[in-house]
Amino acid sequence: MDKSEIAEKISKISRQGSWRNSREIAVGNVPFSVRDVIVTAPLIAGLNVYLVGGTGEGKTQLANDLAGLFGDSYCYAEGRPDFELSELTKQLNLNALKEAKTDKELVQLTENVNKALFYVDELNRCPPIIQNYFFNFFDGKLVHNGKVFRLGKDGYAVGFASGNIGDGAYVGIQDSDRALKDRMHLIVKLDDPQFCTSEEDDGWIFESKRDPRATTPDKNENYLDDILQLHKEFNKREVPAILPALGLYFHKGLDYLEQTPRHSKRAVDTQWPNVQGIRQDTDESKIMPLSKRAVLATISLSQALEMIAEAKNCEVKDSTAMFLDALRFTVPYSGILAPQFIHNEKGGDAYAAFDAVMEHIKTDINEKKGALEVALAYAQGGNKEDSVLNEICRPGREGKWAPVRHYVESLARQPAKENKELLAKIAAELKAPKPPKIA
Amino acid sequence: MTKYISGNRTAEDILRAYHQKLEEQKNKTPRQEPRKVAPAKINADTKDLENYVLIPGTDVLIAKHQAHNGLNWEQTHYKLAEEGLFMPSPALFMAYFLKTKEASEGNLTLYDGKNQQISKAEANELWNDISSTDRKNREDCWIWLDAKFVQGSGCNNLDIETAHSVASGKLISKKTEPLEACLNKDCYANLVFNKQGLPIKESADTKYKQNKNLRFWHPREDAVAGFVADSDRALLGCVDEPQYSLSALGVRPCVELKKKV
Repeated sequence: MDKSEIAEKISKISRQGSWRNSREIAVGNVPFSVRDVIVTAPLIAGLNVYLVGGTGEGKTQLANDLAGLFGDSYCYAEGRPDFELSELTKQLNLNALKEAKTDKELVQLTENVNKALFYVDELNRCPPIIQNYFFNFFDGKLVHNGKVFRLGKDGYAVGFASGNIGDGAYVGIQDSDRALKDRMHLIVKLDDPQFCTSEEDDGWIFESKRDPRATTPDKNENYLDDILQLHKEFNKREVPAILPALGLYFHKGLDYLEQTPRHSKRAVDTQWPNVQGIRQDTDESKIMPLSKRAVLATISLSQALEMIAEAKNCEVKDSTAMFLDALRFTVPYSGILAPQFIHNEKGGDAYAAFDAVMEHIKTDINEKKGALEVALAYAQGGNKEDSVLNEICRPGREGKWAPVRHYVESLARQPAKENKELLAKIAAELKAPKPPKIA
Repeated sequence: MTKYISGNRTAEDILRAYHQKLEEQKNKTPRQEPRKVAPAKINADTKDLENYVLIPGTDVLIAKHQAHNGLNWEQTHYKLAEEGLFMPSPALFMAYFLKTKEASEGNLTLYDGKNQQISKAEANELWNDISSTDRKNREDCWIWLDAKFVQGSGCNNLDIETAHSVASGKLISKKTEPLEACLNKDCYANLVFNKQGLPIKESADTKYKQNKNLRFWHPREDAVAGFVADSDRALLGCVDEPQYSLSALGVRPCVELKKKV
């Protein structure tokens, strides 16, 4: 697909529909609408989205809007404490599962289940067993008798859900927080002032209709093929080298504790952050390391946003900024921020807590970014450039940046032949002097 | 292996830009010729004394401009010792930093090595040399400071070695003391320092603001101190390797006033 086709398809699915949210937010210094970030990008990347917050922000309308985009490949369910598995199988036409006698028959059945989008309202009100089924559907699979069967359309499936993040404040909520936080990629509080609809959107909504009920899906706007093609294009994209390095910082680097015996948050596990020696004046006591799933989700989101930016003719030169800003959609409600920090120091505002922690992390990363880019560029040519690597982390030193240094060194040990040749040519051409300290 | 390093920039783009920057740094014409460092024996007739500033509250003159670029921390000490000069400690340099700030605000008058008043305009220039991010017509300030952090009994189990001098051809520290309480993390710091010249209070800002804060990299074992003012920020760092050298990295030589006579 060429650039103009990609742009045209992105334009189609990012167009404000019956669910509107054109509030502008900057991610990686590129302006996006909220719809771009929480609808278009996740659809392109195949990321699950959990929408939390109060009523009246149009979650049901969004469900209908998505139904319009997906046509018949759409499955909607309303979460209730008495939700039965049979309802689910009925909706997916899986009743025949019970009659299936062989795995072959099961495969044939599941191949017919080509729903690509699953939307569950009030997901957290469902019993845990039903939630598990939904989570698997979101990930495009059905687990039956210990075997995994693929669902979705051409290997594509995505889940949107709405609900509440627990604390027991909502009657009927199941103990689903941990699973939810782990299985949903983006968690967005839709009624937060930074994400809520703009005044222009509200005006448009109020002008256009008098009926307070959500409008029903418009089946004429079926863009499933466009979404599937965009997803294929997305999968072809190369991840910029700096993103896995940043992933290491957030997955392993943030685990580091300076003054505890084993220097690891994961080592103290559930005792964190109430552990002797843990620093209260840094982020040690405020944020746990990101899970691999969260890192991958953030990389995917930032890459989908880069794709959207390119479709809008915005040149993205700095993937770091995009990645750091994308964390706003994967981290604040993911359960890795210390609850006492959120509640005691930030008045229960998870985004304020996230901002406070990220300010220091961003400064730390931006100070090393230049050196990291250069070190990665050298590493691609098989060159372990110590003077630049030392700017990231001194050899033998522990700390947040040590895993990043190890990663870059490992890249340098296994360069692709073509990179080695190309960079050797450039080095000769430039007659490279010994690199100095990078401020 | 992926083609791109960040955004749409490839390894080739990044290395070319990097080497271009190095070339630019190498070829950058200084705003003015590097000032000649005052000779070892300083007296009232030495014309270079106007290139020194008396640090108020001390008997120490500090050079207005940096010298001896390209030497590592130890080599710099040896070079200064040959000339009867010495490297400022963080305590001394941060005193100069604060007093220059005061002078630039018109609240203090500075004097040069010839006991001549330094105008407010010049004080402002001196202050910007060590704090402004506008470096268009100004060389970056990258200097060594006389402090080495070693394992000990002070803050964060570190001691601070200062007052280095050369005796019998060897570099020795004449003063080792426990590191006083100071910020123990990399952060922006308010301009409040302990007696050893290290900041004690974190800034509420997480961005550099001239006159308000500076970037601080807290002391690490076996590292030495340095100060940087460039287009990003003013930075007091306690993380440098003594063996490190760079063409842009030098020192602001100091001399004690009593040697004038």
